[in-house]
Amino acid sequence: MVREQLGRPVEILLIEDNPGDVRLTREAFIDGKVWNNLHNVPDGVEALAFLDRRGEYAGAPRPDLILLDLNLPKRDGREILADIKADGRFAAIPVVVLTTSRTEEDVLRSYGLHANCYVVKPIDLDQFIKVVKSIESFWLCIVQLPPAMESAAGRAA
Amino acid sequence: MNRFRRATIFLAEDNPDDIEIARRAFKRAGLGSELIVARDGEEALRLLADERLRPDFVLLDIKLPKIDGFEVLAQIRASERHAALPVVVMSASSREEDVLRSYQLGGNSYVQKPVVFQEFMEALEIMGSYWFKVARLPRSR
Amino acid sequence: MRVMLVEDSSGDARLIEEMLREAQVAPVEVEQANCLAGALERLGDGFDVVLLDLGLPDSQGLETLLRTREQAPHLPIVVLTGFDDQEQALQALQLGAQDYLIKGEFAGAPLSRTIRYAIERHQTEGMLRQTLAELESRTAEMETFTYSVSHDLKEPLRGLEAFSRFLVEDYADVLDDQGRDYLNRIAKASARLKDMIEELLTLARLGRRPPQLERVNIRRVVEDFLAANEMRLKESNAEALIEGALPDVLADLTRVEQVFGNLIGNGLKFNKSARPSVQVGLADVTGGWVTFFVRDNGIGIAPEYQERIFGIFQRLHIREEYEGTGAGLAIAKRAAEALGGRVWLESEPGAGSTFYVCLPLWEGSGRISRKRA
Repeated sequence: MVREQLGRPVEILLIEDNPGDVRLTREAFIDGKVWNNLHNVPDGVEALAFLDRRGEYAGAPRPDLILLDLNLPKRDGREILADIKADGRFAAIPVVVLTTSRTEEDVLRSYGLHANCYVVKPIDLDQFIKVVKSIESFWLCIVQLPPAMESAAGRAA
Repeated sequence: MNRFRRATIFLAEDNPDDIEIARRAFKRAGLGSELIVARDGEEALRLLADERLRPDFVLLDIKLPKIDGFEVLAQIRASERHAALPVVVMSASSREEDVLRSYQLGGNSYVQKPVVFQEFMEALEIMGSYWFKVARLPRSR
Repeated sequence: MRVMLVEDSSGDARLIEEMLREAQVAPVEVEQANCLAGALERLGDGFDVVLLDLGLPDSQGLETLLRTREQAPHLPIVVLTGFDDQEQALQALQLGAQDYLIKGEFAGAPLSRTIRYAIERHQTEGMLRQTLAELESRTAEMETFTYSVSHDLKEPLRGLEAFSRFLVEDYADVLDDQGRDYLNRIAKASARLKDMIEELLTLARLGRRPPQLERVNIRRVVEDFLAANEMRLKESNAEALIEGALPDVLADLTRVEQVFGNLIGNGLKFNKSARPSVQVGLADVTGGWVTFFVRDNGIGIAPEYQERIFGIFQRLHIREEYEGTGAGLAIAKRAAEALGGRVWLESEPGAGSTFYVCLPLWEGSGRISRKRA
């Protein structure tokens, strides 16, 4: 493993409304090599509340990684992506778009909105799990995730 | 078919040993296609501006002479042509300020350069598999 | 010597001034202020000491002392108090007064002695504080230096490791046995170099990163370590036991892991018994500190080496006997000290070793105002 140990679980925010997909994703991550906590919110409005630590999310941890479905109820995932990346407090958090759409337009648009990566959700169950495990291997084992701004600022002095 | 084989990888790295190590690692991992190498920030920007070269993926060291990696990253993101080009920042440093800044400037991920070759190979396998088999990349322009 | 006498009773003030003039060998100048505001205004005027009555018309009790200290932290203060106020006087000492005098119970000689000592003591404290600050700054510099050097050393190490490996992969069959042996030694040396650099980095990081203090469950830490090393334990037919309940500590999880991981690991490694065994338990709880023990039935350490082994890269054995860089104990010790605690040991060759770790007890409030262990 390349990444330095954090000494705490990696906090993942899964923005996904399909319960079946949520369950599969959760299972794949529980099984993972790296200690992590998966938090799920069913739409973008809840997601922003989670990030803001509003209301029931007052004690929510800051996510180290966000998995975002583009097709969400209430507000479209593409808008949520734009909002997250426009907010200086959260822009550095890697967002992996994990969605059913395969269109080149969505791919380009997502990268254009500064998504860190775009992954198409396979329909096949086994493939889905493989994909999530690959996400886990790369983002949790190999990658250095960005620290919260406050902690890095303290170190820079 | 392993798309990693067909990808054009752009490597911005000043250390000639690290370049040689990377070459061997890519070959081992099955990267058959092109490897573009820039030895400093100026060369990196010049090569990126060259319309004949079409990189699919960038591995960027932040410690580059002449123009540093952060500046190169900023300019990649500011450019019309390469704004969506995936850039994985690869660096010896694990300093939090460097990691944070890389993501803030639009780097897609940050990977610390492993010291041991075996670990480098493993990281490359995972990286290659993730970016070229699992993820969708924007079409190179 | 210039004395600022802050006293609202003019009778008392006159008495004190007389005593000072009589007893002093050297010339003494006394200025009187009869309220705090008046005193605070003039404190900047080159005084050597303040005689402070705590009961003033515009300020009462310890508040008077605190405000005076705030205004003139560079001045030693001797508190004047009535004899019903000894409790308060003792508190005044804790809050920074150099001494206290009970009115009606002192005469000229003790008064001037007290003042002299107050001034001296204050100076000494100042020098101590300065020395401490310098020490801290130099330690911080050293740690930053160690960190950045270790970090920079990784770069040529990368090349060394990779190319010696490539040589082995591509040219081993072209070489004779001797050549292959040399290559092998290079590979092993670079692996050792890597371990040493990583441990240097760990040590340096221990100093740089301020501990994030929280409640730490020691049992969990030990259990996690044992679970992570399950294979190793099985392979060496070793056993590890936690004896009894272990109280929680106020500490930083990473550092606690470094302490126990290294101590338990060593207990299992430097061990020739058929059934290597390590026990972790509680040795003592006193005055806000907990002492744990990590006991093994290993080879033991002779008294003449017991201090040395805590040094970095200090090894007592040849590489063929026991591998490792010799940094484990240095890291464990530094980690414990970073938390305000310490590590020490009792051991005899052939009779195993018991390492003791002292750490702050978790008392629920997270206060860190305690003396060093």
